[in-house]
Amino acid sequence: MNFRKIFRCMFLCALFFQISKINFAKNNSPNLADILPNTLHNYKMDGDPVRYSGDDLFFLIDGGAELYLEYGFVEVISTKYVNDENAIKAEIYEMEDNAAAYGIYTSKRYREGSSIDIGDMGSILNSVIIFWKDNYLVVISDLNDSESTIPDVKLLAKEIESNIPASGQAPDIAKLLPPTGQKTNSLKYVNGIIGLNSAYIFGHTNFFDFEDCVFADYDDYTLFIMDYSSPDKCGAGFTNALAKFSENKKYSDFTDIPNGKLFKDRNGKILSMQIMKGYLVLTISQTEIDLNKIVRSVETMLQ
Amino acid sequence: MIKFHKLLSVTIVLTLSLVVFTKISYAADDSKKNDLVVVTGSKYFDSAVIAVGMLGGMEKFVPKGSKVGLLINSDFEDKGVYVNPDISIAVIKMCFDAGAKDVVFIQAVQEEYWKRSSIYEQYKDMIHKCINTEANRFPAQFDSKYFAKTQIPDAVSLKESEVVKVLFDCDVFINVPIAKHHAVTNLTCALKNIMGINTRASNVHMHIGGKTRTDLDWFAQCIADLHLVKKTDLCIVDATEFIITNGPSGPGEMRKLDKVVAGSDIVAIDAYCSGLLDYSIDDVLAIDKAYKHGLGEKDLSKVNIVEYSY
Repeated sequence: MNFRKIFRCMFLCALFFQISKINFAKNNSPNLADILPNTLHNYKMDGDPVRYSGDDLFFLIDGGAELYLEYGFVEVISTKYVNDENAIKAEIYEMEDNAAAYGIYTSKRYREGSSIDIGDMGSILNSVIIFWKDNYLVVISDLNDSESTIPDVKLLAKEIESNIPASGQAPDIAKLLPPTGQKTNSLKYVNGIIGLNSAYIFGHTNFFDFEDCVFADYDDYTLFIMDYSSPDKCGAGFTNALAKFSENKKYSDFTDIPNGKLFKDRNGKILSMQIMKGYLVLTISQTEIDLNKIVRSVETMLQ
Repeated sequence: MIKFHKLLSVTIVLTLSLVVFTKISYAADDSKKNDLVVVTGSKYFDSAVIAVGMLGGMEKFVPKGSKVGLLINSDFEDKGVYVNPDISIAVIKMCFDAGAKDVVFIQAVQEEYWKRSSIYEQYKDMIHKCINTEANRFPAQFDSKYFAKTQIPDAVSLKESEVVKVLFDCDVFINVPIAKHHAVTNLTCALKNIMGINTRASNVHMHIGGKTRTDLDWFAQCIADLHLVKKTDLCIVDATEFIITNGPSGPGEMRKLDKVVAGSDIVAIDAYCSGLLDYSIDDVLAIDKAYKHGLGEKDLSKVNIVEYSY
């Protein structure tokens, strides 16, 4: 009897602790409306901001909402700050977690953008600033794309950043790609087929079945590292992917390489797929590359 | 001596005119057999006119006194993401010149869009003569006055859709898309542009109504199914300058090819434009689905493609 009471008490305590944890986490994240400043010097907000959550994102974004949803989208708030001459648009996307915010940032930043010290990572191109911080992706853009408003765009970005107190943590896998030779702003962190297909069109389903994946461009190849919850799942992902490639007429010339396969697509691109320390490692190149060198550099990172 | 110079000048001008005229006339004559024409040049208004001329002229598609529906992909802010308005203006002009009674924008086109054209002032009266379907502005909501719940009996996936009513009043349906990257379908061009006839709710159903959250096969099938509602009579595609990444809303990496592609075979159009973005037709699922619906030819070796550069 006593044991039952103690057990019940422990169960209720655990439940209470879990609920408190959830509430605590929620309370820690600022409300989206509180992140947006009400005014910007010389500008006023153009009406009430619009907010969309979950699948309603499709009502804000005319095409491409799936990518946000694939990463894990929660809610977005969007508004314009206007004066007689200019209009600056601000969008704040709340994502499910730090990894989702980081991922959508890597997908949306511009290749030719320059780093800017705003948020956990920020990029500026012309009069557009994009940054991520905590669970948020923030995009500030001057709708007239005028150089004269860049200081205002920066000011707004900094004000929004200061309203997001916590910093975010990029997923560990993002650190596994060798930095040497990696092209600026080419690294993307993805967790589904839509994100993955932005590098190369593999197909219409995630037949690799990875948990998450990171890829980047190097001088003459693109390198992918796919993460799995266990080595067995990695092996199954490799087997399934190889079966899909093999049955697709687009691919030919399959040859064995250590722990993997080398093959070509119909455009002459060379693909390599290998298992390394529980990760699936892929390269795609237009010409023959020194795979051994790449393997060594990846293995060093995976240690 | 002066007379000789004058004579020489006149002769040169006449000869050059004849050469140019013959070239265009030849293209126009030959066009009766053309399935698809591709015009490359830096004057996009002219390119659209030449392309339609090579297909036999707008008169071939637009009977006198007819009501023409235009579906223009215009509702974006960044260059290379929306149809260059010079091309749209050329299409409107050709429709009116052919004797169209009314030109209707199936999906609302904002005034800002037209103002991005350098020839806006010259053609604004003509643009304002067109009927703008305000009820079908993104994100369009269902209103039984403007939209009809439309059954699509031969559809594989999309059995019903909320379609803007004005489409059914049009005698001629002209699709004016831009060929560009799309994160989900890889290419968005003439086939996917059809989603502009729907309410947003119907489009969301197309996006996420499949068996799984990201069911690309379902989505592609829905796109092909929606074309069964009304067949496109003519496609005039902006492939002049477009994004090849971060689509469909951009901004993204740009590709400038200065091409206008036109034809009445919507499947061939998308098959051809896939190549402009380095995709094979297998990379764009809707092409095969539309082909299977009998909407056109996906094998470009069976399509008569005529290219013209100036």
